[in-house]
Amino acid sequence: MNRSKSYIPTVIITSQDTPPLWGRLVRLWPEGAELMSRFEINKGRMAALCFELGGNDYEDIRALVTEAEKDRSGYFTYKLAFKDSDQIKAISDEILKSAENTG
Amino acid sequence: MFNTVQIITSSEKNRLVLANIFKNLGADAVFSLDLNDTLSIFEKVRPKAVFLVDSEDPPSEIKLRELKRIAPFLPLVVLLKNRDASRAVALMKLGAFDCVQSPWTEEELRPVYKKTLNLDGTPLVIDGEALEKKKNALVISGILAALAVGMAAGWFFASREYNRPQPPPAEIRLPYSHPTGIAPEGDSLVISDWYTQALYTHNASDFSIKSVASLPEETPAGLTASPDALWLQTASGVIEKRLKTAGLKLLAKIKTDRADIAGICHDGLYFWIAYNNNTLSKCLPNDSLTELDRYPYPGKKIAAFACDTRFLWAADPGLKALVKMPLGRPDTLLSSSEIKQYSRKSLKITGLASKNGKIWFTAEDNGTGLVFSENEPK
Repeated sequence: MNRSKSYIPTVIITSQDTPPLWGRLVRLWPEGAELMSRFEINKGRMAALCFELGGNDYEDIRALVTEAEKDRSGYFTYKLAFKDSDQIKAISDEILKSAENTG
Repeated sequence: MFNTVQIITSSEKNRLVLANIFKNLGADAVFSLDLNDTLSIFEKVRPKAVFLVDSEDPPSEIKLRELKRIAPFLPLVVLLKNRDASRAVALMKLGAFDCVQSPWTEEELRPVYKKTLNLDGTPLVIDGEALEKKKNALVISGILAALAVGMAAGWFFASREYNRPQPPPAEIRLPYSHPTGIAPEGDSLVISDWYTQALYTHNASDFSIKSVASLPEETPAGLTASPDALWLQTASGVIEKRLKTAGLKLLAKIKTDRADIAGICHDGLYFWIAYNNNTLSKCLPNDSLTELDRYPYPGKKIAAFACDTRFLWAADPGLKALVKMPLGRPDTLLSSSEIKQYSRKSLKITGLASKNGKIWFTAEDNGTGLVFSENEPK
């Protein structure tokens, strides 16, 4: 496993009707991520993420909110499961590449 | 403890709105008109977070860069004039902790304010395995107690057996994630953590936390102990000498003017500073840390540094090893012993200490703070 230099900021799109939200990926693995944000997203909802990883832009990464937890500050931590197998493969490759570069 | 936040805005209207909101949040808000004004009073104010209004001169990008330069770990929040996720993410990439969209309200700002000031404290979580072990230990104790009623004769021997102190596990997960230094103190270990800005005193046998000393004005980047004091290295390159008593009274504050310190240690007589450029500096442990000599480090790279009354030690990620140097000839590599934990690519050793034939390490691994120890290599 590897680590990015800082938590990865990400745009979160939950609907075409509402303006995009934002947060940070506090953990990322090929099949999913842990996301921290001030904005509330209901469990079971789909979201599309846009973030930068390894110098590449990842757009419209489809994720299902599987868990949502609000901390005492009022921030939410979400567990996300990525749904698109091509996107999972691309993220997996990027994580591997990043690990090789720093290894 | 004052919850001082510094707010940068040139607009009188914004100032009035924000003053009211932060007052209601219980914050002590100090306003600055621009970046120069901020920097001129920054040292005096010592804010716990800086909130800057976007779309004012100079641009937020420059403000973030300059503030990050002087206070790399200070939470910086940008107050956006409108809800623009792309801009928020761009500013977060530049180091903003978070962005808040207009209209700025108490409800919107409260979570950010609370998060940046960490008013909730760090959750102290025992990991599942340890909790399970503790539960098992309780169950075993209960069974033993029941058996003892019927087996009074065997009780003495049984209790002796079961009460024998268990050796600590080889690697311990810490309930905080960013340890930076470690100093053995009697039957305790003191560990500094930069994120929570605190010193944690652990019981060395079971690693329970005995006490926590919060240092809200400092970002601890390293730690060592001398017989009479704790020495704290801060992220800004200042080395503080503090009493070991409960309040950690500040005895001296020494500016090194260098932020590239890899580690500090006290060998019982002299004070040593290891720099990231692979130099080792031997100093008098006085209030100005007068340098006596300077040596090249004989390994590849210093990640963490320690010493005892006989040797200097360095955790070297270049050699993936613990490097041992004699006190009298620090430019000589006496031995280099493999640190097995370095086989984990995500692991970074952040602190090192040597005491009574044992070498203690603190490390970060994938968001988890760790401590482990090895017997001193021959």
